[in-house]
Amino acid sequence: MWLDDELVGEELALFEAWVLGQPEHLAAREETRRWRSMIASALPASEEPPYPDFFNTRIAQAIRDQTPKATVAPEKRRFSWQAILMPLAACAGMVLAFWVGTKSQPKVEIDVAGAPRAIPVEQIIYTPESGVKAELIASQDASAMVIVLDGVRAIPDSTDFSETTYVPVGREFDSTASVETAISDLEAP
Amino acid sequence: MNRRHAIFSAVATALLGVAYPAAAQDDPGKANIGRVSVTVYYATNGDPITAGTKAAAVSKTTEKRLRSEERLNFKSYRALGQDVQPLLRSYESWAQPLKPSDEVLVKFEASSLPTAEMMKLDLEVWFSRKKILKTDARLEGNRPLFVLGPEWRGGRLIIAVALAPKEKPKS
Repeated sequence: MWLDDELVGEELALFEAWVLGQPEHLAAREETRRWRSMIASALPASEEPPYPDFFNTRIAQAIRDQTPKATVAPEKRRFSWQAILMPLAACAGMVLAFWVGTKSQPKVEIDVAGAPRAIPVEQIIYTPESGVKAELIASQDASAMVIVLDGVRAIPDSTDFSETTYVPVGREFDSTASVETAISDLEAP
Repeated sequence: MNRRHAIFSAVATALLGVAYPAAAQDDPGKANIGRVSVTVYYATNGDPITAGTKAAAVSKTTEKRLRSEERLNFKSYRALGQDVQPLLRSYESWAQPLKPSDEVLVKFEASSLPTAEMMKLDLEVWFSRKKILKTDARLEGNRPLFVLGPEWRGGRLIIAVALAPKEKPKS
């Protein structure tokens, strides 16, 4: 404290009397005083803290936090029929609007019973292999559609089909088919 | 892995095992909307025995029908093989009438809903593993499609595509 010149009164007098015989202590105090004066000349005497608004706000918040809060009794909600009737009225309004909409729309009835489900168009024939030509014949005599292919590479005679797993005997399906079976299959659950 | 994770994994696996086959079975695209038969005939003006001893004779009705069309008129006919495949609502089907040979293949799929009079198909005919013909065939109940195909052993192959009657339930 003596070095910082903070001793006063009797303590200062007693210490000053003793230190007169201690030159190293005197030199230390002079050095301290010199440093203090140099620092005081370099720094401003006072400086505002940075962001003073923020600083003040934090201080005010800290004060508020330490202040006991007064307990506020929750407001008792009073029962109101309005809270029930409003949603009910909204629902009833929507139902009524939907019902009026269905009644006011003219019913458009389209008879689809006789409408074709597949429109017949000209049959398309495509032969991707070069040199192959196809001719379509609507054969009335055979009661069949016939496509005649020309230019198809012949199957080598060495190819043997005797191992074919199913060779039809008796009737063939090409003369006894019926689309009614397909329809019944389609409509089956 | 703790006990809860183990139980959850077991339950999830069990549900997946039950749900997957059910979902596959419920696929509406696999609905059977008909059956298509593909028959391969051997037509020749020579000796029909060249087709092999297993080649079957053709019914009088079919023979008369084939002979009535000038381009299909041959002296003799033999049936070499037949394959009947379901016509599915959304998926294509392949017929292999000369199984196990894949010399003749027919791919087909429905291109519209069948009517009482007609069924419309997208149809491809493959010979020697090459697509030779693509067409939109309209098959009617008693009106098949004949394709006069490649030469073989002095004759021609005729591919007949027709609607097949409903499969009889197995007793």
